[in-house]
Amino acid sequence: MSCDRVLQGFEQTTLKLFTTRDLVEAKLISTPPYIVLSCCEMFERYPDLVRAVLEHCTPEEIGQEARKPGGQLNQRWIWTVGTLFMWGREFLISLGELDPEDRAEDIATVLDFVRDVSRSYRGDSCWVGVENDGGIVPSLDRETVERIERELELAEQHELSRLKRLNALLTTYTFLMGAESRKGMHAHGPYPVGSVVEPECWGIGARRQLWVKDFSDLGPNRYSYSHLAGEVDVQNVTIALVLDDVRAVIPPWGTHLITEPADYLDRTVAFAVYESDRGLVRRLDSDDVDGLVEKLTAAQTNLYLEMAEWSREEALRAGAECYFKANIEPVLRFANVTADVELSEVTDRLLALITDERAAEMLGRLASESFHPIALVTGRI
Amino acid sequence: MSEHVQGTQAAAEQTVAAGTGEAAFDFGTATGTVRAIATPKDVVGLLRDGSAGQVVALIDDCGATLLAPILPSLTGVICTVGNRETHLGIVAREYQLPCVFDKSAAELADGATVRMWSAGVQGGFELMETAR
Repeated sequence: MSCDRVLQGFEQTTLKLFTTRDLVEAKLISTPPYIVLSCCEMFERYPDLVRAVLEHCTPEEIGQEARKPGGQLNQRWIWTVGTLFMWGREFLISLGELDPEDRAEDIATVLDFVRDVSRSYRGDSCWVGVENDGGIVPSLDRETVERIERELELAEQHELSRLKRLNALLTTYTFLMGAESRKGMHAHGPYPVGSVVEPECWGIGARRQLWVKDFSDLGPNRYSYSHLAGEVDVQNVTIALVLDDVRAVIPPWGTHLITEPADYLDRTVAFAVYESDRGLVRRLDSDDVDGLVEKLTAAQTNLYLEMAEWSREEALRAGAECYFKANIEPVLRFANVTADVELSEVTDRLLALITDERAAEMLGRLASESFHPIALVTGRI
Repeated sequence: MSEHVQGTQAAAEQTVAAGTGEAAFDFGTATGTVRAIATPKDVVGLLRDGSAGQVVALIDDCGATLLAPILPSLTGVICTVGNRETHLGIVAREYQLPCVFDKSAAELADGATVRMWSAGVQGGFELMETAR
């Protein structure tokens, strides 16, 4: 694929992101400034971190690992590694910190990595974040889908109420733990399953399909403020849902279900809830779910009360830390690479320059202007 | 529906058109009392005194976090910025919490009783006035 086509792909995905939602200038933690800061960190630091990872494992192994449920290594991660890295390049050029001709070899290293991880993950030739026509792939292997199928529970009304409560709480909770980002959520599917309820209704294109939602980084984790979730002893939750007559799509960044009708959980005919960690660890029963909801509710309150007291700089540093770490630490962990993932002098240096207004303007420019051409590196990308 | 609102309706209210925009999802109707929420400290106040139950939160923040700890208690949300694809739209759908993204710049006062409505992706709200 040519460099021009790669850039065009990133531009199109970025445009899609910004045209389907407004910028989130949230009052608890305003996202534009920390997105700019963390993307600059990504551009400056990813090339060396990617090289370190590639000394320990192959992109193909990472792509296969990203197909497992639970944790941050997933399609959302693959999307961000390439896209946000390229945003960082645009931001640094805009700030006068980088010339468009600079760092061509580094760019090629990261984009080659994203391409090869994508192909392994997807099982085809598409790049996540560059070519979105293929959308989301049903990433679970057959063995995992069959296990879910065996363990599905029919959705009785009282169990459905419990499921709705958990699902809604996990959604706000992961937004909060993710500093107003969608780093902690991932959705995938549909999967054909077919022996539990009305087998003739199942399968791809059928009326009843299995969709899966992963929520990650729930307990104390890589974020410095996550100790406030001290009582939450389940790090990742995977919810499997068999939906009846629901049309669902997932955005290319893989974060959530967009359904018609919107009240898709009311059309759940069977479900299963799991603790997960690079695979399904154990099925959570009703008592487990009730206990988890209680702990998550308390942790959400703790997080909120603390965040409400943060200064602007504390909030920006927390957001930048989350955005940076979530997008590099999972693959370092998989590759067993020890590296410093704390924010660097890049953030220290740029913090004072990135006002809310300037950050919003820089993000807006991503959706309205072409990315700067990449100097060709022979034989790369 | 809250007792406060039921009482208001029993007094034979009339409505005046107030605002239109997008609905986060097709929720039908919901009625409650407007409360402007400007900062996280406002949310902490509602959280601590447990008084979010009858509230339609009026906000200018389309993120998912501002209202996070009180979302299950609210009657509805009117947001003056953003659209149904924002983070707020996502959490409103997951909570099945009536939510309108107002495009009309209508003015709402704290304490006003408001009826939110949706029709497909369209949404809006009407001020409720008690007949004199």
